[in-house]
Amino acid sequence: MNILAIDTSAAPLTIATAVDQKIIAQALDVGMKSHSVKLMPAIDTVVKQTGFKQSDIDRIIVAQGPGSFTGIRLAVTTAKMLAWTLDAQLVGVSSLAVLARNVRDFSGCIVPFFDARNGNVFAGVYQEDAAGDLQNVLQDSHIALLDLLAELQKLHQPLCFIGQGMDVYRNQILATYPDAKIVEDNIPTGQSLVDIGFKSPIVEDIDQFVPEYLRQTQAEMLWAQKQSTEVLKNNNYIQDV
Amino acid sequence: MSDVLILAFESSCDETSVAVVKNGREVLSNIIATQIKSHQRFGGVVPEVASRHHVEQIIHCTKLALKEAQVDYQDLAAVAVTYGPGLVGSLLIGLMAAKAISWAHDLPLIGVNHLAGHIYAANLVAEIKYPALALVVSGGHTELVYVKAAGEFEILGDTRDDAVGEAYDKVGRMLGISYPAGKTIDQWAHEGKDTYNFPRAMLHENNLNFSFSGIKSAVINTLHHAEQVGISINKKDVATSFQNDILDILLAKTQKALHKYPVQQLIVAGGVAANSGLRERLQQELANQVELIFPPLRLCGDNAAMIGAYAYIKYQKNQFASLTLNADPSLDFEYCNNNESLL
Ligand SMILES: Nc1ncnc2c1ncn2[C@@H]1O[C@H](COP(=O)(O)OP(=O)(O)OP(=O)(O)O)[C@@H](O)[C@H]1O
Ligand SMILES: [Mg+2]
Repeated sequence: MNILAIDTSAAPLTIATAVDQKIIAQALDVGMKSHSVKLMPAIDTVVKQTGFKQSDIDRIIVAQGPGSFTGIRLAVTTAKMLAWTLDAQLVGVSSLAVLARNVRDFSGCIVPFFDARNGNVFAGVYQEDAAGDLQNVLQDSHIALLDLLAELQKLHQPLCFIGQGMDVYRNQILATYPDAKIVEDNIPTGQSLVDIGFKSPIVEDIDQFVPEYLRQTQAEMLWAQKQSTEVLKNNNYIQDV
Repeated sequence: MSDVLILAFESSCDETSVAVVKNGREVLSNIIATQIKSHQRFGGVVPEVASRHHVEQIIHCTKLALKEAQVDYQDLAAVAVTYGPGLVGSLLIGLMAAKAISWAHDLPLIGVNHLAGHIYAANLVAEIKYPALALVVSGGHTELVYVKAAGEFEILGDTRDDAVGEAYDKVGRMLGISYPAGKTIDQWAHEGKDTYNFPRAMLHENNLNFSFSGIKSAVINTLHHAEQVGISINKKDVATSFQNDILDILLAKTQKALHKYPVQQLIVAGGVAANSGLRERLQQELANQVELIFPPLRLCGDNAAMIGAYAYIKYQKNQFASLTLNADPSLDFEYCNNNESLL
């Protein structure tokens, strides 16, 4: 199976091609942002380096979020459009799971997170099973770091934190978990993306595929507070005219 | 020469639209999914919400556009997309979608200025004769644009503050009309009387610029004052007075521009071009000196057919974009540099 994998959920950009789980070519760009400029040219370069024609792509794996709202929208829009127009399979994977997969040979709980500002993070908890596959232990969520640290207490497992911006969080983490392993990393590798996406379910309705924001917009949150449950049931907001 | 079919994307604000246009003149399909109902919850467009809706709608619209036009990728000559001006998050969705289709099927990519699109909606109903003058009146813009030749634009004048559509929406809000308010104010304006005689800003200044924040403040003050002293307000009279004010300004500046830049055609473009009062007045006052082109209502608001119409001009000039094309939220035309001295 010929795979194209895409992740622009945080500052780095990762594009990879693989045949099954074997990476053929990849582009990692850590130079902050401008994913909107770099994404499609990077896909073009990597796919051509691989020797694939566009129509050779059987499956597109995309990091669906959480992450930067704009970043995940760029990747998801590109991936869903490509999958649909090329008649390829589409697979969405958690951006946090991909980051967790960067950690190998750790038998405890892996806690990948992205900074979501004001003491909040997007985080999940993952653990390798006996077969070496990553299993989700705590669902990805938008959570205060302190609440996350409290939650982790219940797991009674060695912990490995992986994410960017460790300078901000290292002390807080170590204060609660002095033995925790801390990995300063936020570059999802092509291998991590493909390993997870190869075994994940295929999206059935590409049309309806959207990012996992894990956060309502501020405007919707404030609006919803003032509405009756009757009003909130209606989600018919788009009209073809 | 064989027909040039362009698949066009537009997502600059709160409409997701995909169209197929033949030779820049004929609409084969023009699918528009509007988010208005969603943003009415907030009293105006919320950018993050708009971006999210675009991702939800983009394939649905593309699918329908191809189906309705009964075309396949091999029938297409190019893929076009609005890359500015507009909301950056919104623009990016159309942009990524267009790049994906362009790359997947080896089709050239064309980046279109949304305002050029509004103007070239005219080509879908008549043939533009150059030089032409365009009055662009929309939610974000109020400009008099000189269209020297195909694809050559110069701003002769624009607004110093609010856009005319913006003024309609803000005044509408004060009158308790849900967003966007233009259409309702237009209706009310035909039912009331001009009793307030609001100030006509910059009417006699010797330039082609506009200002609409003064009239907006005048309406607010009137409403506040009435509330304070407890007199009731006839909202329809306010609407009539407001619309008359706006139309006087638009007509006067357009007259002035036509005088300085004689053209055969006046193109009225953008969402506010749907205004029936504007259409009536232009017809009455200018039809004898210039050919008027009003695109039909569906082509005045944001739509991808107009993007396909303008993309055809760039296609003929071989003005293609690369896959690095980025959104440019504040894209605009160049200003005409000898304008001041002419006046
Ligand atoms: N009949 C009407 N009379 C006056 N204004 C109207 C009428 N119909 C629509 N409008 C106004 O048109 C505007 C929308 O136009 P359009 O969709 O072209 O703007 P936009 O795309 O938001 O802005 P821009 O094109 O400058 O980026 C709104 O402000 C709306 O109130
Ligand atoms: Mg517009």
